[in-house]
Amino acid sequence: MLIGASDRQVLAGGAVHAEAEGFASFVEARERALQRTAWLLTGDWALAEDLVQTALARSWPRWDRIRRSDDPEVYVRRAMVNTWVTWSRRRWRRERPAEPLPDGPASQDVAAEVTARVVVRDILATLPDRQRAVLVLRLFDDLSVAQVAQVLDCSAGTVKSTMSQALAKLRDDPRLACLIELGVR
Amino acid sequence: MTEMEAQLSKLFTLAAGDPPRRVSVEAVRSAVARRRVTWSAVAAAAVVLAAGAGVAVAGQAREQRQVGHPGLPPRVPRHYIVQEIGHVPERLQTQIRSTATGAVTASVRCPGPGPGSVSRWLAPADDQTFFVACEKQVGTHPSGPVRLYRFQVTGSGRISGYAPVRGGALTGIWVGDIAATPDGSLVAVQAFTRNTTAAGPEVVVIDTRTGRRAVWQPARPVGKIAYPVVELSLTADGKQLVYLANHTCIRGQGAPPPCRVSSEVRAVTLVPGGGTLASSRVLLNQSRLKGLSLSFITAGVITPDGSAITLAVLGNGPTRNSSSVSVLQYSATTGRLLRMVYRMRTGSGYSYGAFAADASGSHFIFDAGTVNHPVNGWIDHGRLIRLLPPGRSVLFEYW
Repeated sequence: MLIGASDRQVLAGGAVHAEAEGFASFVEARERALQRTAWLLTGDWALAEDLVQTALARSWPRWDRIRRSDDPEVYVRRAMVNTWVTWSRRRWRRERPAEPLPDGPASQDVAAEVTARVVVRDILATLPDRQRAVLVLRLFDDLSVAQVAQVLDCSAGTVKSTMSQALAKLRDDPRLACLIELGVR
Repeated sequence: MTEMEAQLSKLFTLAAGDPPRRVSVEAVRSAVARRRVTWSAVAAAAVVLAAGAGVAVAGQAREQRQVGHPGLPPRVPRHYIVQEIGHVPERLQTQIRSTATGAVTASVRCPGPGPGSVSRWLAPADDQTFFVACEKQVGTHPSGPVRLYRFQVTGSGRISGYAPVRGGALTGIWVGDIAATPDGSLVAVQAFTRNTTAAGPEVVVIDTRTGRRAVWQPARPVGKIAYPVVELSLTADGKQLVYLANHTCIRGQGAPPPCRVSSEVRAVTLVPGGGTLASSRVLLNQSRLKGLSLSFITAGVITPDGSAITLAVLGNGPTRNSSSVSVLQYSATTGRLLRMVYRMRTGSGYSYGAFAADASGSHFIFDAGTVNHPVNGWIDHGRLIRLLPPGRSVLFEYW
């Protein structure tokens, strides 16, 4: 990474430096968890890394205000989800393979993690952005309905109904039923 | 939480696993700096627009260059491609990264020839078009067939799509290297087969417009020395195939006194039907290059106009602590040293990861250094500007 003199100069200055210190410890502590959430949203580690980096970069200038709030992570997650929704709308940003990618469910005996990864990524990809975000925040990040509502900037009722719609859709997915039956538990 | 929700929660945890790489604070700070440059440039453009339409156009053009790629001189490739061992064991991971920031912008994924295909070899045509040789990998070994694809890297570093190369479905071979002309009309493939002998691999040259192939058989060993092809390059007019050949002493026949590792850069004039590399001519002979008798030439490519040859040289000096790693450019016609592009003194010994020239043949990536501290970077006026990932984890790089 080219962190040159110009970057340091941008970050120079007493107040800015003080903010960055709290920020650094937050990034250090939470970047892996954020990346996991980002992977569930995007289905791609490279994109997930980009997404987390972008969300953190957007949070950085306001970090002094954010860290004084009850839960700074809510703000970062909101930035992440909003950024991802924006990216999703820009379809041109995505790679468009001329043929199907080889990452389908493998026919041979593979580890449970790999099977789970492929199936989870595929079934999440069938959901609209909002439903996917609700599922991931609620079930993976274990946020309460109120916290999810705060992240997505909507009402608790909307979270509940979106969650219900997402679960109804997944309930009918034979791949998920098969995976659960196979005993990935 | 219902049973289904609990099962989904477990599945999500299992599926997400561990991220392959970490997001560092430095990377975020760098992204912040880039965003600030963008915003200040937008503000500056607005001021210029208010000042007058004619002035605004010129001002905006200047700002756009700064916004898009802060810190990079013009014509330096904005993105490079790097291969390293991925987080899935024994799997190559090929990613496109920004030259200015190191940020990953896309992954190169092989569409074929079947599940588990990996991109093992790439070649630039122009600064946005690349060719990739995809092979199915079984365990750690490639297993045919091979299929060539062409892809475009967009200005933002994404891949716009993969197109199969006409005549690029090859069976019964595995690939050692590929090269392409800047217009993408010719692709040369270093092809190993089960029958490859000590003489070395053959070279298949594919006309991507017609799909026609010309096979160039390796030259027969001279005495007990073979000259197998190590690396390929093509001139822009598609007339010359240039290759680096490393002298190899054939095993089992005893090495005669003059037999030691040495290199040549050779050229063959391409004809449609192919032929034998025995008809090639020597452009550079290591034994005749001053000061390189103890060195190892690890890469050698021709410039698109055919005027110069660029060598990556790992040098053992005459004394114990005089090793170095260098990039040198020689005249293809006279064999004279034109310029020393880069040199790093490495004391005792050296390490090497990758060398790549861009499509113009004037910008270079070099991953080399001391035994313990290899540096991955691109060469800018004799300096090595660092790239990601750091040295040691890189297998190959292209740009």
